[in-house]
Amino acid sequence: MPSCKKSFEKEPSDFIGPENYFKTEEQLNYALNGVYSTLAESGLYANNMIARLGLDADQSYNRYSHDEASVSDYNYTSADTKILAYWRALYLGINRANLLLENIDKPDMDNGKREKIKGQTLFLRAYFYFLLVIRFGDVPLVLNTVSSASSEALQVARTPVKEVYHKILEDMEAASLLVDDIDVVGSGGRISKSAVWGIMARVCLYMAGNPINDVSKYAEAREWAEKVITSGKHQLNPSFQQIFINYAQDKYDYKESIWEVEFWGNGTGIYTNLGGYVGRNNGIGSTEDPNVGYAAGMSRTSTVLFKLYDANDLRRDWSIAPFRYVGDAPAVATNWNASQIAERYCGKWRRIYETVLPRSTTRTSQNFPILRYSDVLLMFAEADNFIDDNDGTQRHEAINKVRRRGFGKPVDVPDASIDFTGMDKAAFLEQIQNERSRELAFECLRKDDLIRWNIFLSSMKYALNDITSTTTAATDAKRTFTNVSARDVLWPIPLYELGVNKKLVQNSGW
Amino acid sequence: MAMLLLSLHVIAQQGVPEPIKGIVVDAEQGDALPGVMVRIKTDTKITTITDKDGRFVIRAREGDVLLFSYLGYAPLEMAVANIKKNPTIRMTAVDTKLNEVVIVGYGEVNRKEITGSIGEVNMDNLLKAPVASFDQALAGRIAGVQVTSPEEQPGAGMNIVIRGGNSLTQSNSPLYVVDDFPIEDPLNAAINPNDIESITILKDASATAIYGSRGANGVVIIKTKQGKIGKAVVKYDGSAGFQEVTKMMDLMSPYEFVKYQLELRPANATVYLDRPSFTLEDYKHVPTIDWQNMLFRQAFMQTHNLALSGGTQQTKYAFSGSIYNQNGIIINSGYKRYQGRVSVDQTINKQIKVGLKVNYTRDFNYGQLASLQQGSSISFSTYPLYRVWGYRPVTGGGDLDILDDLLDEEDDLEINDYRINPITSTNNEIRQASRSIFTGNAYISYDITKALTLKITGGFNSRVDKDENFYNSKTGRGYPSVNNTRGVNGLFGYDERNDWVNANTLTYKKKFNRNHSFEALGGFTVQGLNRSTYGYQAYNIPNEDLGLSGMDQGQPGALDALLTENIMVSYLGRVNYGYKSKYLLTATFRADGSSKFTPKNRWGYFPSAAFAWRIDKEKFMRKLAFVSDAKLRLSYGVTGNNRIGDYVRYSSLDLPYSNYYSFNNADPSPSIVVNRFGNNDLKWESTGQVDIGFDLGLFKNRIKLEIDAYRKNTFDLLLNANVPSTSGFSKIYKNVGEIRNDGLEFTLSTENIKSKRFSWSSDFNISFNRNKIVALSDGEDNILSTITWLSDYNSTPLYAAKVGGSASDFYGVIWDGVYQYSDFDRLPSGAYRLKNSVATNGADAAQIQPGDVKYRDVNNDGVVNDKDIVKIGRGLPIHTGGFSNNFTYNRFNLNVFFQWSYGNNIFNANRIVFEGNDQLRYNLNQYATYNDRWSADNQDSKNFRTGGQGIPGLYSSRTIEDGSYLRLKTISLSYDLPVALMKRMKIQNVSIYASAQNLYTWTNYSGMDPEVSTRNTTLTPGFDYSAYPRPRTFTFGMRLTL
Repeated sequence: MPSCKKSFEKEPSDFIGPENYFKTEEQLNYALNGVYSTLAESGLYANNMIARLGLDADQSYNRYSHDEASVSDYNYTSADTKILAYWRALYLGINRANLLLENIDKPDMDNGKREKIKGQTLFLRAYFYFLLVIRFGDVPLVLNTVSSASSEALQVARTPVKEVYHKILEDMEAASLLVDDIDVVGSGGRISKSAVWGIMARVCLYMAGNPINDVSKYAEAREWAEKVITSGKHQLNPSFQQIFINYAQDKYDYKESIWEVEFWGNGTGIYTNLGGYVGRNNGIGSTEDPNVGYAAGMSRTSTVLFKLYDANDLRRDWSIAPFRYVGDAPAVATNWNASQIAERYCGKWRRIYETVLPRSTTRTSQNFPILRYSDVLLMFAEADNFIDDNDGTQRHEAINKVRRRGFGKPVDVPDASIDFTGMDKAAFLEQIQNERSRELAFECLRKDDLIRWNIFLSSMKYALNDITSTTTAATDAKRTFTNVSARDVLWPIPLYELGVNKKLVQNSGW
Repeated sequence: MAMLLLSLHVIAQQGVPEPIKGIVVDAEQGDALPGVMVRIKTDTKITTITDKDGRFVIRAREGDVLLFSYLGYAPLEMAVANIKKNPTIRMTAVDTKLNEVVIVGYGEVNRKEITGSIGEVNMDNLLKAPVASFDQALAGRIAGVQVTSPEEQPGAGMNIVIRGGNSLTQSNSPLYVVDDFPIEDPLNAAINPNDIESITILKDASATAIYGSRGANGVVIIKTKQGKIGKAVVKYDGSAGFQEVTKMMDLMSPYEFVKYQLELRPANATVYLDRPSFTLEDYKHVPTIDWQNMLFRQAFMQTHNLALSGGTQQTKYAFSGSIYNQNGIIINSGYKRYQGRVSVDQTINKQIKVGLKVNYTRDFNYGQLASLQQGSSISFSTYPLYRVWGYRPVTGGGDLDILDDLLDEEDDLEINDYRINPITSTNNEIRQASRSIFTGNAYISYDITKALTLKITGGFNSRVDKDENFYNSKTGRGYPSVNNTRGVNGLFGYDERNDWVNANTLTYKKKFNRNHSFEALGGFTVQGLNRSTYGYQAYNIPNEDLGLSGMDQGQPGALDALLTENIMVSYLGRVNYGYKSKYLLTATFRADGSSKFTPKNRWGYFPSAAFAWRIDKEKFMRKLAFVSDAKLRLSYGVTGNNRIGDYVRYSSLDLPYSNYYSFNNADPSPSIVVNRFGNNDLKWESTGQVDIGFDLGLFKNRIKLEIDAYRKNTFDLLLNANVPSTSGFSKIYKNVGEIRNDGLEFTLSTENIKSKRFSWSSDFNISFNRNKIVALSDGEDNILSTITWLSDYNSTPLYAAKVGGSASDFYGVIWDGVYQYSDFDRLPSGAYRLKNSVATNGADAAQIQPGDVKYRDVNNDGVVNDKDIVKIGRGLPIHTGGFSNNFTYNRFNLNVFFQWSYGNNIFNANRIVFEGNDQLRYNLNQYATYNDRWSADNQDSKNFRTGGQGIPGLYSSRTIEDGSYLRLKTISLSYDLPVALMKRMKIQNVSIYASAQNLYTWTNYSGMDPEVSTRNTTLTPGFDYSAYPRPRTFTFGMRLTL
């Protein structure tokens, strides 16, 4: 029946398949957008990473009843849904990147533009692996799209951490040659050379520390950070507060904010999901007054973090709001009394500054920073501290710049009242550890910093003792810090994955 | 001359033809029989038909013998001489079922020669239930056919599962064949039950394999009525009645409610004591605002059917039309249907017959879907019944009019607690769906020789669904608030499905030397479907008074466009062989080729064979004269399931709005993402089924017993399988896993009493089915399923389908009542501290207080957590069945029908919210059962104290309940008016009747109704949250035949 044979071929006219896509530059760009949008998945920066995964370690604790018995209060199992969502979102993004890389040569287009797309894709995929490897250790390294639904094709074993890191650095280095300079890109929303260098500095620092302890990477870290600094395209925003007000107002300052996750709109219309929960999860609780903006107030400070700040450090009362909102119509900003430390909310992202109105109770348009210039300076200083053949002037200047800005002083003018001088290596490291906490509080970096310095567990127990001796309140904080144990350095491989992939072996302790 | 003499002789012998008059009546009832064929035995040319009064006139000679024949009656011969003496001819109705043919796939078979397992619905009994659609009355009628409704939303369909579910993630509903038109998901409500001639249900593989790739879930064959030879008959059947809710939940009274609020949040609850000199005690005299009473109503329903039919030898015709109108028992909900049908059969010549059936139905259902959440966010508080049960029954001091206000001003609620006036909202919500279905079926049958017949059929089915939703500012979804980013919003959806089929069969039927009967069927059929769906939403609509037509002024919202089609080509064959009607063999084969699969897996082959031995025909049985029928049946076959999307084998890219990305604050730019992995290796899911059956008839079949045992092994399950996320996908369609269903079915029909004036007959059936998962995807141990209803629970699995277990078991922790004082140490401060030896309930030991909920620490590690999760219930019943009784006394007929389900559990999620207030929501009324809760004065209570609910998001056996029930499903009483009276009015027959549905239910289930499953899938049965309650229905009607 030849006629029948023909009629069997019901080629779908409802959607497009990968084999007949990727024909134009525009289509490659759409695919690249898909890779970027991974960052804005609710399992990552849009929601869960903001105050709900315990990434701020000893800086804060989650006080949100719905997050009890989950990863945020360190009372969780391999069945935790947020851990699975994190893992899933990243591999979703990796698959999108793999598909794009496999098809990148298909369109007939300007090769220069093609290379830029390739660079961004390579970098983003490497960054996704970086987010995986720091949370799970060894992970399956998947660099191609799946070709078949057979279990052989689908079940992939874990690749050792070192090899994954090696691939991350290799791809990022390749990307650094392909992407544009940041002044060409024009904002921190898209990957630039500065972003790649800065993140490579971070990757190298992580490799230099626990658990890989490849100290040769300090030199590399210093080199990448230095490339950012000497590019001449960056400087600290004179106002620490303004950095975050800019996020609320959708303003870009690439000199300070080198890479940020883009969120858009307030959850209305068709783009309901393009806003994030920045300022809503981790904002100042708790009011429904739309003139102020609702915040769930999930993230509150630890007493340790508060005490790290000098009273004159402007960063303290910005990062940790000294007030909360009382009442709904209207909301009244009401100061905490001096003893109420652990009650205080994270205040970095303040919804009152938002310009996209009305302020919805869910989504906000506030962007979230992944890499800021102050971080680069501190990374430079830290790496430099491990390199013997210099007098330390550069590293002291780098940390002091960050400090001066924090105190509202001119960045480039030495100020004896706050500057660090002549510290030895050990003292310098300690101050770097503290300065990073002061500068980068609530920015999802603390847990990994503590882990690579190998002081995660001790710092968490210190935070427990400190809060216990300071206040009788904050039972959530005490519960959280009590729950922490050595195994929490790594998350468990999600139970779901173990169930469907027999080649996976669970992390120790889980 | 000799010829002349001879003929003269004949005339002399038999006399001259003269008009012979008579009347034909039913031997038992005495009713006149119209349309009886009367002819002279020796001369086939002279015939006549009785008129509407059963009278006939025929020219015959004195010596002639007249033959009377009439469908359903034993043929009768009577000499003219006798008729002259007594012109009343009494014809005896035969037990038609015994000799009748049974409709099977692509043909029919003599009842006695059935080799497979086939169930037939007794349409007389079924039609006694006052329902809109036949499937609503099907539960409990046929062994092995489990019919349930998830809830009783007007116009909603039923779930029919034959012999247990085979498929874990795909549909388990049977294939329907309506007038030779196979269709996978028909709208059963499109068929007027009064138009149905017969429903047969094919259960075992030998019966279903002729439908090949679509047969694995069983086949329901529906044949609609066609005209019969005889004068025109007009029938009217109309009824009217009402429905009412069978049960309302007992809620807290004002006093109990305020008492609870004072315990829950003393600081906020002071509003209740603000009135001067008003104490808690005074609330005993405050009238309660009964929201349930305002939501539920006694709802009117009516139905009218009119049918005209008749025919001659050449032409048979039937026309019918019906109107059905049912108000829902919840205000602003209901169902309407208008339907018409034409059937014509024409004999062209001795060899050729043609026929046509056309049906058009338009129906309309409206009203909020009760088990659907009504807010724009995932909020469990927007469900219609939550709103009603939870809305407070009394106000505090302020002079508030909560009866009329949309929002409760005094109510200081949390931001995600959308509690608005349940009655105002329900009255303002517009949700309506209208469907129109056109079906046309035509056939031509050509007898090539006496033994060989060609039949060509063609059919077309077109269905258009239209969905319209509109939420104005007085509804939960549309009221202005910071939470509601969509504002006043509306939705329009349009869906069109066109199905067509052509089937060509050649049947050869012959008997060889009396002993060998042989029948062979061969066929070729093509079927296709195309479907398109379009829809749009509009948000922030400025002029809500315009309703749906104002949507064009709003902001554009989500858009929907879908186009899909498939085609299937099949070859089929069947051979029946019988030796002396004693040994019967059936073999079938079908090959299906479908566009859903890639060329390498395109064709599926489905064979079956069956053997039957009619033991009663053996010589040794002659001594056992009381055995009228005994047959042993044995069958095996392979059938398939192809219920996947048309394009599942293709990878697909999508541009979802949710993945757009905005750079530098510009307008969001599209993102292309992969949303499906196209698996080229997909093939049919196959089910191998073995069936052993035994049929026994005793005492001239006054007792009939049918027993069947079966085992079904379904392998290469078409599973939307969980896969490692490292692939970039969470699910991929694969052929993996294996599931087994074992079952037993008994059907017993008896004529208990049969006398002239009184008779009593019964039909009883019971079926057992259990399933077991043999293997899952690639060594996966279980599939966990969650239910989306309340954010704390949405990620907690309530069901697990484990290898070695059933497909649908409930999992959770075991509830152990509450902690008592003895579980605690008394601290010097007077506080209670949980003893170290006592396990926590998942919360911090320091926070646990006497009266808190207690769970069993299964693994004895001191804490209750996910390691203590065990099986806490079964989702599937152990057995189900029905028991129907017909009593006839003179002109009265009474039908009493019971139906049951035994052994399944229900997860009553309503109790999580309303018996303990899991979220501790302020001003949320509770079930009255929570008045009995633990306190220092009431330590015997098993309900935890106010605020003692433990950590959220943990499912426990506390709200698992026994879902067994026995229901008095239908009672129908009818009375036929006396014939004499009717005659005077020139009416053939009038009967009046009264019917009641869901009259009474025996159950231990504490919810509204135990037949409930608001998130019904194979993996997640028996979940109850805010279900549309099942009404009790009373109708009164009349059947009239002209």
